[in-house]
Amino acid sequence: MKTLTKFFSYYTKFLKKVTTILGTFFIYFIAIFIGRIIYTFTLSETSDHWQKFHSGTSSSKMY
Amino acid sequence: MIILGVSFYYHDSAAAIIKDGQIIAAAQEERFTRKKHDNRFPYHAINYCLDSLGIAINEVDYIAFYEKPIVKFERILVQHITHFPKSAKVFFDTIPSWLLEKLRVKDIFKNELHYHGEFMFIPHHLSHAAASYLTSPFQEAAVFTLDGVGEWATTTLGYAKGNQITLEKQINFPHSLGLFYSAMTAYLGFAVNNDEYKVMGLSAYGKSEPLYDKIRKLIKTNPDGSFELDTQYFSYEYQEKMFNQKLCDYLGAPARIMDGPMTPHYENVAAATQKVFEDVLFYSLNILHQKHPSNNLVLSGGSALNSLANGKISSRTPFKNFYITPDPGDGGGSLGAALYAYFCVLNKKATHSLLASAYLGPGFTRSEMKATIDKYKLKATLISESDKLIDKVSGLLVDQKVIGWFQGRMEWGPRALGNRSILAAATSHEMQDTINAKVKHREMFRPFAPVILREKTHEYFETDKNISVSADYMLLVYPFKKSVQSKVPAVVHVDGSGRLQTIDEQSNSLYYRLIKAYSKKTGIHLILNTSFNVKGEPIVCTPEDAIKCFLHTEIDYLVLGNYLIKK
Repeated sequence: MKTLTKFFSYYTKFLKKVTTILGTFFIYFIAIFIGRIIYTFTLSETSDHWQKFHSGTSSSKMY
Repeated sequence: MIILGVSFYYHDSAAAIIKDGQIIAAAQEERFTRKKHDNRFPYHAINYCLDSLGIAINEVDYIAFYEKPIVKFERILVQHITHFPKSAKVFFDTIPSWLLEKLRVKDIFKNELHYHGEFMFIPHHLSHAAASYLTSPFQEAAVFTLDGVGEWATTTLGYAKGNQITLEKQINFPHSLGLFYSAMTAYLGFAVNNDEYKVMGLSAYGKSEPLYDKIRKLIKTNPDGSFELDTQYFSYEYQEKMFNQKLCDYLGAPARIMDGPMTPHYENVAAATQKVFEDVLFYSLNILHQKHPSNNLVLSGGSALNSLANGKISSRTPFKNFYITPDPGDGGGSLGAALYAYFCVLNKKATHSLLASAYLGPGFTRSEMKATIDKYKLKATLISESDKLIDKVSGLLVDQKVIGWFQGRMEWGPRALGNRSILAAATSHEMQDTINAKVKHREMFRPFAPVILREKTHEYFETDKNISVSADYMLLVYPFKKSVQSKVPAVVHVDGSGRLQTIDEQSNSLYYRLIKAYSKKTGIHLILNTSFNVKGEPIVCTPEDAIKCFLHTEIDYLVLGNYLIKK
């Protein structure tokens, strides 16, 4: 019985790790998928010719 | 009002400090850590800047960071998204450092230095523009910045007047003349962000004609002065590697392996790359002049270190005067950010002040030098009178000795300008080989540079009528006059050119007087000046660095302040 409990304990930990890794990849792929759609419609034309200089928001901001 | 400018986490971390608009100190982190192009948080450079004013970090009114981290992160995310799945490896390699460090600039200052003051985040190319314009002698100028990439921009143009800098337009990543040059640097077997100057040196050995048309087709120029790269040949958008197999196939030969044999093909690639870079740059600068027909141009960004192109600005554009700051690259962005914050954001003064000197780094007292000499148990002669020191050292130069010359405050920027220099006579061809064998151990195709009395420049070089102040910072290459080439062969490159440093008494009196004394003895008004370091190391910073370099090389004499040390 003890051995079986130990086995399930390790098995649960293993599953958690696998789920975390799979979850990270899932989020990554979803982000890539959504991002590509947004990029296709909004940013694909921005790299040609001169663009208006982007000075960001106020100088106190990181963006 | 005290502002600390900082740049870090890409390459060439640095810090600069200004007080009431006056530049007090600036230095690159690599000089302290002895790791070339160190990009880590610049603890040492910051401490040096604070010590220069004798203040603690919380006495600083603002910290000005040289770019907008979140905008840069946005570009990197879009870059990865666009090139998925090719970009997946780089994504997982780079994103952790963004999440843990690069997006947490404020936290790092709070946690590491306990700083609780204000921050400013200046766009990358505005920092570049400010670094040049706000240290220039001009009250108005057309502005052009060019580098690998900042946040999104790789190139910008605009106009500056008084204390206002207006960048109007930008070319976005991946279309980058700087990254084009870096990719070709990588193809030629050199290190990116480090060895671009080797391509410049190598270009003199090749012929541009065989490959010019092919390489020129990699960049399309538009009628509005913008340009676009044919990105199918480059992989820097999704890999650590700069170019792909397509470029090798296109150029008809595999990339050169690092330290591999140098063949005429690679020399021709270097020559054509340099010519394409110049042609595209001057095309854009001419369009800029049409838009802003000023007599003055300020140039900045890492690509402004292309001294071959800089020497041709006056002849290939309508600008009569131009200026480039001593450190136009990312290190210099720290100073640019601080100056922009003070003059342009806080609008503290109506006009900016000229950079009085490029010697903004640490200096050392005579007693500190003596202590280091004693630590290494060296025999040193103290020559207290500077005239006697100059007479002695100029005599050694005449005798073809190689001198390590350590004086005053360290230079700001990548060049040794006579305070951390190795000096020698330029009158014999063998001197190049001697310095290479004794000290530098570098590639034979790389030329050594001359330092010349400013008033004698026209006697030796085919220069512009008005020589830019930037020649003081060793940022320009000019052809030697044919009549003098045989007199100073050690500093004449294979194509008859020289990357000169001009010097006058005001900017560095001791250095000027040394060359003047040498010229009185020989009739030659220039000597050889190369950086005080060995291959792969940053330029020396402290007396200890200088002594270590002296002891590990075959430099004949070391002049440490007023101490003369013989090997």
